[in-house]
Amino acid sequence: MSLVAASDTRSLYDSLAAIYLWVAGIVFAIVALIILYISVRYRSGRDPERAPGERVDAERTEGIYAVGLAVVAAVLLTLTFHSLSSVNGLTPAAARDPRALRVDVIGAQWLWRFRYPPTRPGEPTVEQVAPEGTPTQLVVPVGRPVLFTGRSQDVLHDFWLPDLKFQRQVWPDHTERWALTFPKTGWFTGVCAWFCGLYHQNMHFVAHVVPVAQFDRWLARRRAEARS
Amino acid sequence: MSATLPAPAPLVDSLISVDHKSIARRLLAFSLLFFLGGGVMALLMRTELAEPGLQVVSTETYNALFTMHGSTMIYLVITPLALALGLYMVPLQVGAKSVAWPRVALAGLWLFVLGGIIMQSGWLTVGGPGRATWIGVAPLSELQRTPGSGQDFWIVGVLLATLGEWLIGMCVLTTALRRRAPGMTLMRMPPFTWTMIGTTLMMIFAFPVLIVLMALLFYDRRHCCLFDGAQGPLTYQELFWFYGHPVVYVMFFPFVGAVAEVFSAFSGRRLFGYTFFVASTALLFAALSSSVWGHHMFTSGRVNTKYFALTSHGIILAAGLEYFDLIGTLWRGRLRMNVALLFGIVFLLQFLIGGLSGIWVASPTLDFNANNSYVVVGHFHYTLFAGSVFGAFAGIFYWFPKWTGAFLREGLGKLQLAIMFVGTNMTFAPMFPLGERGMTRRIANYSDHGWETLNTIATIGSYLIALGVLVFLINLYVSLRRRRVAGPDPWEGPSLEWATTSPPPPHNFDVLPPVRSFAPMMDAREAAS
Repeated sequence: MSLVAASDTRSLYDSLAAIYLWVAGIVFAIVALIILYISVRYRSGRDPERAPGERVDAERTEGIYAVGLAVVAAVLLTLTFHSLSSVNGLTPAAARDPRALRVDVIGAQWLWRFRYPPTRPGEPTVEQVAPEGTPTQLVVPVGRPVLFTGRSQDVLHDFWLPDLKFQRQVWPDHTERWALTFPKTGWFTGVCAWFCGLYHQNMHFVAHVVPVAQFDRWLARRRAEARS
Repeated sequence: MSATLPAPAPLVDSLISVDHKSIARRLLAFSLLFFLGGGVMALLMRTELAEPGLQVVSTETYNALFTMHGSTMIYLVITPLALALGLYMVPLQVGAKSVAWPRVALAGLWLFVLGGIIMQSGWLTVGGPGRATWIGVAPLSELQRTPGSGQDFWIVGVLLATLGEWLIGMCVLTTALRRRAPGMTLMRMPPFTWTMIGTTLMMIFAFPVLIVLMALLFYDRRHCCLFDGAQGPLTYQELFWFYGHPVVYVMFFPFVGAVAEVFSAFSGRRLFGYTFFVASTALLFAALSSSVWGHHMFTSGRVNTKYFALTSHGIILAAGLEYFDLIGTLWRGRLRMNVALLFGIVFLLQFLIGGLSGIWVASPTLDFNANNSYVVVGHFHYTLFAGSVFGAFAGIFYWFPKWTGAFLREGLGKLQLAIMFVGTNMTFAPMFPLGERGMTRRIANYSDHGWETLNTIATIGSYLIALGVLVFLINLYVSLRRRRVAGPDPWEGPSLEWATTSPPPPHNFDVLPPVRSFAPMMDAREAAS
């Protein structure tokens, strides 16, 4: 559970989620056991002669309990802030990183486009787009930061990669930037998470994460195709 | 001797009566009617989602269904249901002979009904009803993106219904503040009345924002550009959630209050930790409600995520104290396990799942995945359905004898609870793993990523819920046809509503017992014994 070392959104998410899940599970178990105990122990049929308890408050206990709640909230919040700073720090880190790949994301009803802008003057832009209803391929290298700039051509969309546990809204007349590192190779489904009209459900993409050398070959080939 | 006017015909009376009990009954009846409609929409959606592919409805119909299901349940069912409980019970609980501004409350009722009818009449238009989600977010809800008059009907419907609800809320608040019986200080108001004060305080500032936003959206569809540009979609979200988060608590507090009354009555104890309950639930919770809206916008990257995470985690304090007091009321009680109490206990457990998953989405790192996924759908259905609706049934079983003079059947009630308990958890629990695995909300169709089994379970659960609701309708019918007469105080309740006949006379009380605490009826019984 080292929150500091993690450099990708998925491991940051996983380590924080584990803590929140444990806390939620323990709290639920405690409350459920207390309620179960009360329901059995204090039902009127069990001891019909017994009068109900007369104590109407326990302000000292409740005060201490309130402090306990505040401590739990503060601990969770501290962990969240810590993890959030790491997530938010990915973007400026990628912007400074000369190895980072730039990809422009364009959302439109109801497909995604991915553009690889030139890295040297004179290079053509590579555009990935698939016919509507089929997922556009986002080809990216494994382990190398990818700096995304996102825009929309019409309404609100939301770039969501469930495997990386990350999403970001894009909307017209605005450019949003975020960075991701893909920790392993493979095919990962991405979707538009924000309802964007009639065929919202079809607005998929696929992240194809490949080894760096393979990615470089792929991009060079696509640039050559774009030039011709 | 007296020259009273002849009583109007029953139908006319039901249109114009300004008796708060009559207005509340009509409000309750309309919200029940809309509840059945919204429930049918939910069943259609669950049927479509039972397996991958499109089988039952078209994508376009599905988009209309989820928009109208959410809009119906929030604007036309749970909010008015909460207000109906308040409008009926608050004047009785504070020992008032009527609600403040009864004609305003009546106007509120009919504005609400008109709004509901206008919103639903979108189904009759060529393009279908509103289909830009229950938040009607711009720019999607603009004319060129969502053409057709159905969306306009939705906007006007939301505006009028919300205006009506706001008016009723203000009448309830004024009644609690200005019409209390002699001896009833603020800190002697019953817990339910306090939760209604919290509710209506939130309504004061939150509801007008939505009313104005709907007017702006209506204008925007005819002219242009209010929500364009880089700031437009953000502005819409900010304004909407400034209403949209407080309304979540508007749909929750009154049911917490109802459960507090139920716990008190059926354990034979006064509410435990009254001062803390008032301070945390009615005041701290309500105050926080206006400072957490930005957590709905974490994924925009354009709100101060840390600030809104801080305020949202603050809810842990308010909700934790509320649980302490509710459980403390049962502790060492003498529990009569009636249906009302059982609904209250199940409410407490199920809402806890909604609350704990709420802390989950209050953390931006976790929300970056959960937002707009089925995790969120599971979360808010655990709060609003597994929580609020179960709390509402606790209140309905508890107060039904007061409203009608007759008991609801206990056996049918327990059957309903058992079926709904199983159905609810079957429906909403699978949504957490589905969302975690990447299922987005608001989709009619999905390709099978191993999601089918969980979706099928959820669909079966939703039919069980419908069966539970059917059992309740049968219970209503049987209980009203073959009445088992309840006296003025069948449960030995704590507060003043039990000091009068069931149902109460038009002027509510012939005599009032002295009010020396927040549980005057318990005082009276103790003095008599």
